[in-house]
Amino acid sequence: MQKRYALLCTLFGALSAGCYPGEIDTAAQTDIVATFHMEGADYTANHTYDMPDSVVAVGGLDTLDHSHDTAVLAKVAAEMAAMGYTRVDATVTKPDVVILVSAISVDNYDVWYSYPWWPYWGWWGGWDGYWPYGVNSTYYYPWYPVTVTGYTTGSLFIQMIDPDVVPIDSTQATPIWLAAINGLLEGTQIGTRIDNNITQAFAQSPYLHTQ
Amino acid sequence: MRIKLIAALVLLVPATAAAQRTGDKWFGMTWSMSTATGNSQQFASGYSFRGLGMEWRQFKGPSTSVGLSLAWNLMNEEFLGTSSIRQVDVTGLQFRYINAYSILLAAHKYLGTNQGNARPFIGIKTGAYYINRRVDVGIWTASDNTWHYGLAPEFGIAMPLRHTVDGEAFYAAVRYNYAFASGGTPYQSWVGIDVGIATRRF
Repeated sequence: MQKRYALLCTLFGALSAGCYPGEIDTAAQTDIVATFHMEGADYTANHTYDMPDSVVAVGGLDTLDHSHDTAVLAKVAAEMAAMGYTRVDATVTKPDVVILVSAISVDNYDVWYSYPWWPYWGWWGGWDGYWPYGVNSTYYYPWYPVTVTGYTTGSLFIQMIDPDVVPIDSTQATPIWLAAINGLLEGTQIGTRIDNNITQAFAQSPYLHTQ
Repeated sequence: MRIKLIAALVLLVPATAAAQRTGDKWFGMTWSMSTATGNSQQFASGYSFRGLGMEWRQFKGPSTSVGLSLAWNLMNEEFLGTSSIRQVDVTGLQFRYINAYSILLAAHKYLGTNQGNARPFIGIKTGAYYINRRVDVGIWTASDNTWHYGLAPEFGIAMPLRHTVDGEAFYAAVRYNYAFASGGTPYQSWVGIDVGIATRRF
């Protein structure tokens, strides 16, 4: 009888070990490109954009490696151009949308419920003149039903804000599109992953085309 | 390695039970392979070699048996792809798993005679399925666990390993598993191919 129990125990051990085969071998395999778009937004109405010339670290102390900022911003600009957008200087011409690029510097940041987007770009002169809120306001991400935590340090966010879209309430900014790329600025082969994942973010968002 | 271990266990356990058989009974263990169909195929396609089954049958006459069947089937798929849910599109390396556990009552009808010959059989099983569906994308995991009521018709053949009325038999069966929709999870289905050894006495 003991022999049978031993065999059954071994059997269940083997069974449980085999329930979830497959494993992640490299950091690149953990890369995730998630995009979110606002229901009902008319993306074809937008043709111009501006973008601050920095990748802002949010969520705590800036521990990010900023050596890839230029590559990230250049890639985003190239993809926006491919989508048909023309870059303008917001201090001269009001853009149809503003692209904000940020990265988080802590693990497991709750992006959606308590993301104080505004203070990080409050200094940016391009906002003044048409943005309806003061630079000292605190804005929160508006899509309450979407809750995603678990982003790791170095996750990259590309946010498209349409200043003409009325916020849900006065304490919120209103992004009409967001790309979230998990862990992109950590691990190896960062340059290749920047290219591939930003390309993917736009490729899976064909509605962004101006035509 | 795991598959070899499981296969070894499939062969060993009936052998230990063989010495204890009495009456018109059947105890079998099977290596259960499977391929998903329908909704399950959309979730995780491909042919899986991971699965186990155990069953007990009690004969009621020369050509009829009733019994109990326990089984586990794993269907999984790994791919780089994009999944879309409402306003969200997610691209990443996905590991998808369906782990289906079943506890089924069974009834079988046998053709042929009890003279140590191969005997084809048909059967129907019904009972409970516990199905865990899981998606791993990067560092994220999403899963659901649902109990289902289900049916599983099958056909197969048992071939005695010795030319005597009782003793060990090799047997194989093809079974279609259908777990009805439950708790917001749509119906799940798959075809299983079982290969195993039974200790039996007719």
